[in-house]
Amino acid sequence: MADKKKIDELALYGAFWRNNNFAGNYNFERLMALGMTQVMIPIFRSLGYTGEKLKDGYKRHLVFYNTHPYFGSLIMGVMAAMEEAKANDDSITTEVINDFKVAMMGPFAGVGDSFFWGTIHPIILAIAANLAIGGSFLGVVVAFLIGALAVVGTYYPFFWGYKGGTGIVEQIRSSQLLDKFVLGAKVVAMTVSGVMVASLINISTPVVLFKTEAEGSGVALQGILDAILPKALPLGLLFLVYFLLKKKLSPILVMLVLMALTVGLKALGWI
Amino acid sequence: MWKEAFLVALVAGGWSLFLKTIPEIIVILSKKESKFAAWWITIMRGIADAATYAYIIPAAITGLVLGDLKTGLYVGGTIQLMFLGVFIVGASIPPSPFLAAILTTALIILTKANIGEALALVVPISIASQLLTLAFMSLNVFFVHWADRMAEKENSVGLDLLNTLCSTGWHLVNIVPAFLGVGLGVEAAAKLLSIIPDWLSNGLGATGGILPALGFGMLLLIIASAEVWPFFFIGFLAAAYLNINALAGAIFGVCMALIYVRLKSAGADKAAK
Repeated sequence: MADKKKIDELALYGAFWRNNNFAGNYNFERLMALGMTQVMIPIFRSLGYTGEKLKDGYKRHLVFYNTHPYFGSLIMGVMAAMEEAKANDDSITTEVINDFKVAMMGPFAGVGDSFFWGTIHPIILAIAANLAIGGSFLGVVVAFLIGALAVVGTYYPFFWGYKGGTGIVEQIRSSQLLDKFVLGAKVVAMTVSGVMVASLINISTPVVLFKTEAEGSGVALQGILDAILPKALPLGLLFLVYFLLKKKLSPILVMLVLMALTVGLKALGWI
Repeated sequence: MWKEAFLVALVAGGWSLFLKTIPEIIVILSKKESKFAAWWITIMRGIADAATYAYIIPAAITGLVLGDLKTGLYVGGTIQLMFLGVFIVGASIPPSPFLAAILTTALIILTKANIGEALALVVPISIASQLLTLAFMSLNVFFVHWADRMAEKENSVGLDLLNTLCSTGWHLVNIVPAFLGVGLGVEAAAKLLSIIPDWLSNGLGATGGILPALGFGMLLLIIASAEVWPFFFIGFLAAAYLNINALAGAIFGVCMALIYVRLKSAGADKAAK
């Protein structure tokens, strides 16, 4: 057999920067299909794919693909490793490659959503927002941490994915590392959400019950609620929103409902 | 107003056309990869990502270029808290306040509009920019079919350019409305604000405290399960009774996660034996 084909190091860096455009062509039909394909361009070029082989390669990756933008780069790295293996051993079929992709994109989206969207981003952004409202430029500096996370969070997974190949996934699976990580991230995200629901949702009522003619008479409704459970109204509001979303109402519709509700209740003087 | 409009358009993503798109096109056409270019483009993406998710950044920089940083910081921080937790999850696209953060800041600085009243425009503008996003995602279906034809012809450079320009399209979706909004819309918006009745602007102003419920509702929709709901209530009660903040909540959460995951896998190991 001739020399083993190997992806040139610079081609890997080419794939790495193209990974930044993963969602460039985000669309309703195949989501990130073209993003995945663009990452493969320098890989195919380096492996010397031409003609039928190149055409098949592009078709192989122009299929439905959707995962988390940062951790998903690990799948891109593994794809590069699999293409390298396929260039040397044609018995690896398109099905094997696509099955892997489909099997991994869900779990990785799950980790990324809980870890970045659910935990890290809200914490950084809440701190940054409070600094900014206080008039400190430090708020902007803290907010840029999000960008640093994007760079680090794509670089390491991509090169781990390439070096580990499919083996890295076996490793992750056998140690149940991924499952543990998802569960842990969810626990943190749920705790932080609980904290933020209590501290960030701002709704209270000035309604006074049993009011008579006398000055200072009556019982403040908010006082009663606070005695039962502080922040009961924010919690109730959250459950209302959760219920509506669970009923498959679109976020935009829920937002309109919330606006109408707020304007109505405010005009009535109930909140 | 057009000079201001140009500056605001640069903040809204115009900068990336020069610093990200052009270097990408140079690499693609020359077919020469380099580590320097890869890092440069990735760092530019990091900056663009930070600005996309942290609305404080575009608002503050808009304030800076229009000469009133303090207003930018205040508006950015306020909008940030309203939309905390609202992210693109799966394929559902929520309203995005990126443009609203920029346009509201510009409106307040350029027309001396009342901050409270101007914030009433945040939600309508966010919904409008969501519609633009959805329109672009529909347009992208056409581009992915074009990509199929390019793949058929083994046109690598074409595919490369197509996805890069689609990426740039997401910036154009912000740049063009920001430019036109400041150039044409600011004075009209100020007039609109002056005729909105008090009861309506008061109500819209109060949505700031209500809207975070949407973000967290969406978040819970994807991560909540019977197994992890108790942790939500622990966090909620800790904040309601002890007033702990987000960072303390996160540390608290990490401790519980370490304990819970370890106990659970120890239990599973025992069961396996």
